[in-house]
Amino acid sequence: VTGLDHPLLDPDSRAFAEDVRRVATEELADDSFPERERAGDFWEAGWRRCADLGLCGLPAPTEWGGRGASRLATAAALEALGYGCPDAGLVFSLNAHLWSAVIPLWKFGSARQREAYLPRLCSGDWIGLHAMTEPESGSDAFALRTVARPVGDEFVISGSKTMITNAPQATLFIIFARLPETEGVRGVTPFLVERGAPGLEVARPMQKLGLRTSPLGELTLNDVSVSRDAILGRPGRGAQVFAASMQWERLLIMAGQIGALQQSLEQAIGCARERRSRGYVIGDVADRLVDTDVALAAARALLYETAWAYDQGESGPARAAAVKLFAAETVLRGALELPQVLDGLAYHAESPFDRRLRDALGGRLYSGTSQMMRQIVARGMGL
Amino acid sequence: VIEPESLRDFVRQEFLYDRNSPLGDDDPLFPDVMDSLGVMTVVHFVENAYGVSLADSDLRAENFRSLRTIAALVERRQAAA
Repeated sequence: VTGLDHPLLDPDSRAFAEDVRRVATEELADDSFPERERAGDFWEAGWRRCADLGLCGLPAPTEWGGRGASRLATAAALEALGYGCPDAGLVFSLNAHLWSAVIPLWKFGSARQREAYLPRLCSGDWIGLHAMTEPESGSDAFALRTVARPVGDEFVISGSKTMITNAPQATLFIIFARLPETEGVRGVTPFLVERGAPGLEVARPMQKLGLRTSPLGELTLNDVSVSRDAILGRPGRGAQVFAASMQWERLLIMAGQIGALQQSLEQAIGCARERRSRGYVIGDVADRLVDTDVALAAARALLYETAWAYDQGESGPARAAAVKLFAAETVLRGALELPQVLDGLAYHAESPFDRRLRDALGGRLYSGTSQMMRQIVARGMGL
Repeated sequence: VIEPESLRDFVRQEFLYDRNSPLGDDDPLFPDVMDSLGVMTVVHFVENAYGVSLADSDLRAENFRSLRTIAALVERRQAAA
């Protein structure tokens, strides 16, 4: 059973996910990937194909160029993409674009901001990001030093950002900065800044252990001037924008990795059968494959049921955090178990399981660590 | 006038893992059940639901310790408007 068979999916959403899976398998699994992965190159042609499918504005309303997909339909489409497309970095960049740019503009943008940016983002012509993390902010995302000083009718932004997904490729930057004389979560304000704005510098891409084709970079803001119109939402209330992004992101960001684990599991089962037919004793490998299959089914069930619940009005951070936690840990455990099917050969750098393991490691780190997800769930339990 | 049950329902739905859990007027909220991000979510809710505008100076821990303290804050702002 994969996401395509899930009983909660309506026929249109199922058909769309099937289409995504077919295109991903036939067109997004090209021979150039291993070399691009080694080099850490973003795949612009792959991004364009995702855009043509409607993935760059998946949940956004159709009036703004989106596809108007429910969270459940979005989960199914992203799982299908992750299943067929080996370029998990590309899938990750798409996630960052959706949760950190499309969602906040849709939910908090003024009519002018939506009109100016959403069609470009949803068409994939523009790539979006948000920039929160700073070199000194540590585990407290709101310990910002980037400041936005009001000067006449404008704000002047100064500071630096690090570990920003999509930075080297992005066209639209949602910069979180602090208004003067505020601290903590108060005063945090998102500003819309376009690539090429005077004073906005994008440093060279940062190298990563996994998800290498998803560009990551640093930003420096040297007195970047923006109009008051560039504020997304209300001044000082950027935490709400960030919270909305995180809720969507933590609910859905592992969908592609669930698809990737499904693909790896099927590959591992094929390897096990083939080795057994040649007389190898596969020992406890069958148990490992069974355990991975069961855990994967449980992670998918939790994702789909929770996505459906949010579509029906569920809200709050705890259930989305539970999905992120369980899915990330399941994907990582699976990525550790499946290589056993190849014995020592799995340790070879060309093994298909090498990259999957490196990609899976990020799941318990990005969008909040697994420890943070547990804290959020614990808080919801009153613990 | 603040409708306490709508605030209670919002907090229960938004922050409790089991939304059927009881939530008393004086049960601890900040920082036990919600963090500073959660406070901003509550601010967004009460401003929209009760038509008040909270100032930065209202965003202090003691105003978000329980349903009772949040309701009291909203009522003070309504009275001052």
